[in-house]
Amino acid sequence: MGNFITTLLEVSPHMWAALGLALCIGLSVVGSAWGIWTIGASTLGVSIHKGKLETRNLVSILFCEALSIYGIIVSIIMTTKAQTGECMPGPSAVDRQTGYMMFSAGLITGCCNMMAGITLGVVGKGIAVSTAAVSSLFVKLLIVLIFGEVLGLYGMIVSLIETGNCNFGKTCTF
Amino acid sequence: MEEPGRYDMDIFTQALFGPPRPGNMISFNIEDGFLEAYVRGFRTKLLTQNDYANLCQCDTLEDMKMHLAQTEYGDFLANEPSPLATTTIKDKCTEKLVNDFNYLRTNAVEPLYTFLDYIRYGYMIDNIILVITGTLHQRETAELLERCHPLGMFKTIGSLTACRNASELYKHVLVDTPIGPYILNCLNEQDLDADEKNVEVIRNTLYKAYLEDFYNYCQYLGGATAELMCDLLQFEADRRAITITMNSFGTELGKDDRSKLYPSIGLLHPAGILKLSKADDADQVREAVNHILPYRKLFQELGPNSEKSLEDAFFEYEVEINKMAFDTQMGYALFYSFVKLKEQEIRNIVWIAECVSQGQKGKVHQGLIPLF
Repeated sequence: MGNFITTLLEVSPHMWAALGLALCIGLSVVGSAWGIWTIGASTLGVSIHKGKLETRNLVSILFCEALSIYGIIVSIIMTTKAQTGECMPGPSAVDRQTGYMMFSAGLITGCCNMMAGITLGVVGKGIAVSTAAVSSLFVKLLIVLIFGEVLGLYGMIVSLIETGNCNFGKTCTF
Repeated sequence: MEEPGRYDMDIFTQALFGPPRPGNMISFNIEDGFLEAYVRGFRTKLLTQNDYANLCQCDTLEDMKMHLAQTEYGDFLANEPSPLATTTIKDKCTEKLVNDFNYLRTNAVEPLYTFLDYIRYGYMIDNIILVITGTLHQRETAELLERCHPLGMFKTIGSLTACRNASELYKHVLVDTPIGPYILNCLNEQDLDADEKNVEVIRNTLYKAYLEDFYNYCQYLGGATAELMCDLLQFEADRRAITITMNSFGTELGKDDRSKLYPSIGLLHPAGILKLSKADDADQVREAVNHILPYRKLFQELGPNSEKSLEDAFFEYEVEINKMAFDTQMGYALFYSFVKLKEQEIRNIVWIAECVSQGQKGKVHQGLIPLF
């Protein structure tokens, strides 16, 4: 057990930062894609009977797309903070803090967007099918979509505040 | 309709996890989302009260053809020769249902494909009994095959004319079809000869085995599918039990033989089934189903001065519970319900056509069960 914790402590903060970056964009895209495939299948099914594609359903897909945009915003900000090189005695406390915070920022955005994407998928599917039957439902159901979207936004806000505060210290480069 | 070769795509995962099941709420749309949305589109196109009102006001079948052309049926009767018959309307409507069902079936992937097949087995059983009965009355094979329901056709149905008893039926015809195992119940005690008396017994035995198999399969599929499908199949089982009992009064079917035909999956099992197997007249049947509230209400509507028959009451209740399937999500029940509701719609159209062609439009509302 002690070895495990020691090993974790010895992982370089740059590794943590890079993992955070990967999780951020990766999980955001997973959520976004999940939402789009769920909505897309149902949209195509109802559009056969209507004879045309119900363009309103593309709004649901647009909301899913916005989640991956949140992910890429946070990722790009994180890439500007990431730096190379490390000082000889080892990473300083600031460096460690930065590494952990960037990991957590990435994980937050990724997980929030993934969950929001799954939510938007299930809700958007219901919207596609029910607005094909009763047209006037769309505007009210849009509110449900907006609330789902906001879940991803919360994650992005927290991540941006976190990454705004952290900076790798002045490092020695070789 | 041919049986295309089915192949199990993923033998490895099937060995590990068993036959595939439908996805849950977050993964259902991957495989079946398109077809589910497609079927919901069909539901929006079922005939409404307005359409039925228009059809009821027609004076001739040509008028009905014109009104139907404005609904989703379109020009389906366009190529028929001029004096239309009600059988033509029924055949064309059924053809439309079969085309829609085939679209679903060709686009379906594994668990849905088997589920849609199960829906077909009921029609297969009806076709088998039709061919056997027709053979007993010395009808031509070609004429019989034309009268079979297209959803229940299978390759070896032509050779049914050569069968004389139940074991021949199994060995020569049914062994390759999925409903082969269902006849093993018939073969238990004695070999049922396929003659006048036993044809109905064979039909009901096959149907009982089919319902129980379907029920077990739906239980295996689990989730939203199991919830609603099991309710629908329980109603079907109870309906068969009550109908068998009512039809057996005054025939040679003994009480022991009768009780072997009751499916064991319904709400009436075991207490109601026990009472049904001892019932001698309609009042005892009514008492046997009294402890289940929906059936009690059904029988209350059939008082002595009502013009509704038991069959009509069952159809009404069936429409009511099948409509509920469209309120569920992420399950297969709506495929089954779609077929049942379409059948009811076809029955409605044929009833209106019969009333119109016989000039008895006053009686139209007795047999009409509007879906919405």
